[in-house]
Amino acid sequence: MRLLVIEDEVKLAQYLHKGLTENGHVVDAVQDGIEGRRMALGGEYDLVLLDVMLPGVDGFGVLAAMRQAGRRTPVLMLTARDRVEDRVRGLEQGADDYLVKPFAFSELLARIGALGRRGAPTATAPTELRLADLEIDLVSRKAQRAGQRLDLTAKEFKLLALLLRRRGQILSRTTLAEQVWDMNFDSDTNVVEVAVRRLRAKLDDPFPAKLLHTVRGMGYVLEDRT
Amino acid sequence: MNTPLPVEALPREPARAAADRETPAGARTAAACPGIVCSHSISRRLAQKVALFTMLVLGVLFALTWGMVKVILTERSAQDLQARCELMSDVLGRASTGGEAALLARLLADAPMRASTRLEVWRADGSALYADPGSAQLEASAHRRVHEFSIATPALPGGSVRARYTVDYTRDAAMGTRWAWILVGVTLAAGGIVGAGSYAHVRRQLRPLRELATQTRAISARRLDQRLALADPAEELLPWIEQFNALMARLEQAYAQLEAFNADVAHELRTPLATLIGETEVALSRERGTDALRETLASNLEELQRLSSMVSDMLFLAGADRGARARRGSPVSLAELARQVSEFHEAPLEDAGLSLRIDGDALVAADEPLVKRALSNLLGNAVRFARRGTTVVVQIREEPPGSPAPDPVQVIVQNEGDPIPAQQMPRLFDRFFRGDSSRNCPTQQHHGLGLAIVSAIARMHAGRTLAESDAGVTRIGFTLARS
Repeated sequence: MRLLVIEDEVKLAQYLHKGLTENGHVVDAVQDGIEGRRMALGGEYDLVLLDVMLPGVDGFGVLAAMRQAGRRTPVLMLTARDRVEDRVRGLEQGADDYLVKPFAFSELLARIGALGRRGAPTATAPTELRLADLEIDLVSRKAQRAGQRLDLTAKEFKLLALLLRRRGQILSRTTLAEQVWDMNFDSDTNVVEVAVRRLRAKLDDPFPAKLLHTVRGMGYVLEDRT
Repeated sequence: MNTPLPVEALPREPARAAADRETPAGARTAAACPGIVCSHSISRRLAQKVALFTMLVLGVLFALTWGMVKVILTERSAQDLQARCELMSDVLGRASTGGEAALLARLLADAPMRASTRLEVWRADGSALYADPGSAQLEASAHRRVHEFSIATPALPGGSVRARYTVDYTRDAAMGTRWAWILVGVTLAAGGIVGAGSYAHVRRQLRPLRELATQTRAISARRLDQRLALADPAEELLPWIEQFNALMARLEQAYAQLEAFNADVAHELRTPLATLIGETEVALSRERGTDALRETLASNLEELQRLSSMVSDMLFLAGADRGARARRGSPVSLAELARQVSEFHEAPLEDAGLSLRIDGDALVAADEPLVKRALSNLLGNAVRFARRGTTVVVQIREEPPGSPAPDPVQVIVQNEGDPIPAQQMPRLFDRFFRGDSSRNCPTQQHHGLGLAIVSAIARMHAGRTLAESDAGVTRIGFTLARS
């Protein structure tokens, strides 16, 4: 995707540029609102990452200018201010998503992916997913590995299905709590860890090849590393 | 369990320091109202009003009295004139029996008795018979009074003579004017004396206010334990002093809490920061392989995530302290929320060999994510401290609508396990409070803000926190107002 990053904190802009480029995106980064507005109105981008606090014109100003000019480019706003009013204001003015600093890079990648997919025609979701010798059937809600049926609870199945659908992607604890259990807050408990550990006991422990991996400090990923 | 006061209520340290710089002690005592332009003084204004009022009342009273006296005097002098004329008429009438000469002799003989007055007599045919010499003063006087009458003189031609008697009342009038001035003077003097007297008196009565100002000035942020006190407080000042002292008490408590919180924050942040710095330094101190560096980065990342979530939680608490309110949507079933949260905690519950039961239900227009968060924190807490094989119970109690009970909706999570020591109960909802180290959770993941967040969420719903622990059963929860 072609991304425009409008962010005045140099270090943050640099790491966004580096991280996003390494993840296969083409990234332009600018450091003030006026230049950002010019680029956003002039260039063809798939997505704009927009900081709220900017020199020159603030993020809301850039967003308003874009929407007035009829630009429907998805905008993901970044802000250090976690105020509900800010969030509401951003979304009302036509931002597509909102991320509060500090955010996990994996979280940002996931949001970018989601916004990128939003415009694309949705392919009919497959009802069966497989990875190595793991197979799950989303309709009958059955999972089996190497022909052996895995005895999972409803939430464990949902967790496994999510990891499998987004195989190879690191999913943070927050994302998992949100998507599997609909808990939209940072929990200071180790609930997700325990749930993953219990899933792993059923999924990986009886088998030599491990599929569910912990990425320290970032989250979990389901992939075949053999 | 004290609900922490909003931090908002506290004076901002830099702002206060600036104010102190702007008003040095000398300047503050010199000006009567430092920083504010005095529009008036109560004692001066009161004295003025009292003086004016006194003068008004006395003036009206004196004017009425004076007017009445004046009317009475005028009437009496008219009567007096009439009486004298009647007397003269009688005396002269009798004298006239001896003829005109006898009458003239009588008139001349009585002349000295009519000093400063003038009598003129005319015969019946109109010719002048007699006139007192009179004086220019009498003719010029504005206060002379003239009475004309006739005297029956049967012995004289025409049977009667006509007389005119003129009297000067200038002295009476002058006396009246003098009295008027005296009364005006008395009125003004009384006003002045009453005004000055009440000014002095009011100032003396208001002295306690200046005393309070002096005491207030002596209170500094370093000495918030000071209170205002008067030896003999007036009834009007007492509520003021009490309210001020109550405010000071709240301020002191909030300040103490903030100071403790700041220290806690610094401490909580220092530990992970020390780890981060140390680990990074060690990693950089010599050549290392990619794996070793990756290991360090991953470990640092974990530490940073912890810091980040702690900062988010503190921001959340700060928002609640600022008075953020819950966004209430349409009514939700609390039991349903509890069911969702218990599904979230399913794995840890099973891990700890616990079962869970949800008792009761209530439909409340509450902020769904916030209530779930509070429930999740309570459940996490209960799971950590429950004895293996027991049941954790989520109790939802609702008072019938309109009932006077103070807590309309209660949500309590109950677990069996070691009781919480009594001395820890009041601090349970304090920020960064973790109980003794043996109760610490082994994963080190929770940072002691969980129950503080429950308390904040309760406050955002106009509720409060509840906690009790005895006979091996611990019950911790919160209340919600319906709206």
